[in-house]
Amino acid sequence: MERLRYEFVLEAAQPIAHHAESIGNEAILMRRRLRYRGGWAEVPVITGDTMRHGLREAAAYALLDAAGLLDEGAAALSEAALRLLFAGGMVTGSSGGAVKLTEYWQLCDLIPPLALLGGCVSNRVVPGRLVVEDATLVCDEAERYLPPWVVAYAREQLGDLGSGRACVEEVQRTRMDPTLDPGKRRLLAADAAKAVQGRLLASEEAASAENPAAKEEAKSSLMPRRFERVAQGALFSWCVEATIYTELERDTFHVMCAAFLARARVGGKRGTGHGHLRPVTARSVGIRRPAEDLDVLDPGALAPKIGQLFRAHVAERRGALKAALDEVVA
Amino acid sequence: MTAQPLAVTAHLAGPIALPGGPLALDSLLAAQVAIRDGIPPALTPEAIVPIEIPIEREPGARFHLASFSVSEVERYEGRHLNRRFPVEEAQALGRGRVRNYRVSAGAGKSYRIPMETQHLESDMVRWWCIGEIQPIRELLAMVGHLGKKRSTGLGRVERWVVEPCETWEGFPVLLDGRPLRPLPPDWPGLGLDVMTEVRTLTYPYWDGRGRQLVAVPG
Repeated sequence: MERLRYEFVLEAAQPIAHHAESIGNEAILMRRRLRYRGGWAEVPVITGDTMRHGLREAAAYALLDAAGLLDEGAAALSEAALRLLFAGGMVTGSSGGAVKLTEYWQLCDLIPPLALLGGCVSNRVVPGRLVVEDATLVCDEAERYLPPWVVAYAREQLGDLGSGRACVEEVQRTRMDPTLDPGKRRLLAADAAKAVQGRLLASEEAASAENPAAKEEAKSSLMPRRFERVAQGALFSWCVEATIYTELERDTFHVMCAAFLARARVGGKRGTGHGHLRPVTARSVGIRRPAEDLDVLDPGALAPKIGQLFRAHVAERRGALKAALDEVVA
Repeated sequence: MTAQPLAVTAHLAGPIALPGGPLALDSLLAAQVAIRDGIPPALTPEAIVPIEIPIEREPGARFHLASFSVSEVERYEGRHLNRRFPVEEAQALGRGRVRNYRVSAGAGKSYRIPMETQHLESDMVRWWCIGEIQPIRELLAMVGHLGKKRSTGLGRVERWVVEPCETWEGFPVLLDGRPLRPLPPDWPGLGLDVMTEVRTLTYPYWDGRGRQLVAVPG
């Protein structure tokens, strides 16, 4: 048994819009409360759940790719298989008192990421062996919780860490109402054009009469909304830890880290240039050794060098994997 | 090696989730022994294998002389657990098989469940026990996280400190007549106004077969 702990510094290659909730028409960033000298601060984070989901998704795609199931029409996964691979499965009923460990071991053999990530299989919750921490914004308030080498690296790159507040910006976007554009209104069918025209007139009348209820009734669908985002170039500190028993598990762990970090996207608004995280440096920490014993990792070089064992293992079991995914209860 | 009075301290690196209340040191050590010796998790009462830990048993051998965790909460923090059906993947990879899915009910239901985490005073959790110092240190060195939602980094232990300590009357299971772990109601020195519940006296605490009326911390 061995415990691997990798610590990464990730850079926001694009602004990060990872939101916790909306208040009115403003989306608020996900934050974690932490203690710092002089009080408590709410520091932006990318939750461990999000990062863990990213690893799970990357591992699932790597598995399907290695089994040749990503070719057009080759996958045709069932709903249960989709749930198992991309959301960890679900307890959908009772399987009685007996626990079939052989079934679990067989599935772990066919789906190596399952042993690390855990999930619900055959209506049993299977614990995982992966600990994925929040990616925490590198800032003054979070300094005492960051690995010392991360703080040193950030100071070298940025000078001062800066406050968490300085890394957050507020922006506004507006969803336009196409019915306000005369050119687009010409595309409407006659009855629809008449209805829109009526609404616009009613809106104008309500505005001139200063009638709030009528204004609300006739308002357009134009929607300005604001959201917080972590500015481009901000740094995050992220740790992932796995307990492994075999070389296949080590390779699987490396595959999922490399596949995720090769194109890590988190949070919302990904369709409009948000969410891309880029690994800039990393360390491997020996759990049972002093913290000074850090091996330098090149996160960019992880991908091409690893995964041979994982891919060969999965490809060899392609048929059995397909059959298991067809029948799995998850 | 001889057993001695010990204070066990976990220094945490951040918040911890303890929805089930204080943590039992004896079951924490038993879990590490099971991992070390390759004993598979007992998912049913019938599959339980007796596990011994380097902590002394009480004279009647019903349980080990170890307290439950003691900590003070400085701040609470709310979080949410989210789950969403993999819609994009269903569209891309479920062709021909997944014709429709329900996200408002059933197995594909999306959810957002609130949960509470605790920031502890001095980021510290403490236990007391009578046991062998070195084996306990070795077992606890394997514990990296405590509490619930460890998989997402909660309850991370920065370092463990296991050291000999002074004792007091009732050490290590009583403090001023209050139980520091589930105790039989007739335990000597137990105060009169302590809380009682029907619970299991020793690990595994989820095994309901040995449930009885016990005095509990609180």
